[in-house]
Amino acid sequence: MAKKAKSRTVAVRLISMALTGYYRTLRRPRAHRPLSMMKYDPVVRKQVLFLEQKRGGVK
Amino acid sequence: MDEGSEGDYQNKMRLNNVWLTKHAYLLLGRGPRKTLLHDAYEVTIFNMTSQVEYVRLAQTLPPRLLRFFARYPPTVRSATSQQGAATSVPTPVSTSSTESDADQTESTLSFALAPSDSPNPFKPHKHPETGRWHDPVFSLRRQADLVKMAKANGVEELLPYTIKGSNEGRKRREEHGLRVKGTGVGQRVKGKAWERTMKSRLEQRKQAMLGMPAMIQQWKQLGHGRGLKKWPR
Repeated sequence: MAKKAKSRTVAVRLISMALTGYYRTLRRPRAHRPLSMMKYDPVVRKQVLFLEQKRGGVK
Repeated sequence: MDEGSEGDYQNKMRLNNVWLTKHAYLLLGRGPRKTLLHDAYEVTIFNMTSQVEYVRLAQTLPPRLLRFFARYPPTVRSATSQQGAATSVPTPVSTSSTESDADQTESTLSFALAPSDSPNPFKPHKHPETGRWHDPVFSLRRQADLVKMAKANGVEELLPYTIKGSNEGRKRREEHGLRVKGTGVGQRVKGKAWERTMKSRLEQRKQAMLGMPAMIQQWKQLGHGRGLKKWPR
């Protein structure tokens, strides 16, 4: 039986580089390069760099 | 008010004072135990001033407390502490009752009155013959009641030793503190995991924020992450 087709997009988690544990969840095309952006981190109350979380595990 | 009722009233008051006097002696532990057995006529030959004093003292006590002191007279320790005052009390002289009468009365009353060397009614008691333990005569709740009552009347030190005494509570508090684990000398409060790790996490965050401008600079130079081969973390 054929495997179910993967969706075209994936939900990714962008983590604050201030190491506060704050993150944002976004959707991006599966084939796209990893996301990164400057966003506001309410814990340190500043705009900081957010980078996409490394995909761990089997997937 | 007619003559008869006036006389009745005075008689009643006299008897009341006699009763109070008898109990006041027990209360202070000054008079010999025979005092209780004396009848009203013998009591009247006491020193009048001290009698009035005892009556006044006894009148201030609630009946429940008086009954307790009558049954369990204060110990020798508390009696000796008031020895200075006790010296002025004259020894009652037996005049009217014969020796045999007194003995008989004593024997009939002995079961109703606890002997002065009886065990503390506030503590469990081991029967000397059977070896079985008996509960305290007064429950902890009633002990606390009596202590509260005695404290209000300023005679708490006349009560036998009880764990409900105000001094005991203070002693326990001094010994154990607030009973919060880890607050003693040389101890540490364990705390929650987030409390224990907070210091290191804040330090980590501080270091990350210090390196943030450089990281942003590099990110911008590499085309907003396009050229970023190795992502941090």
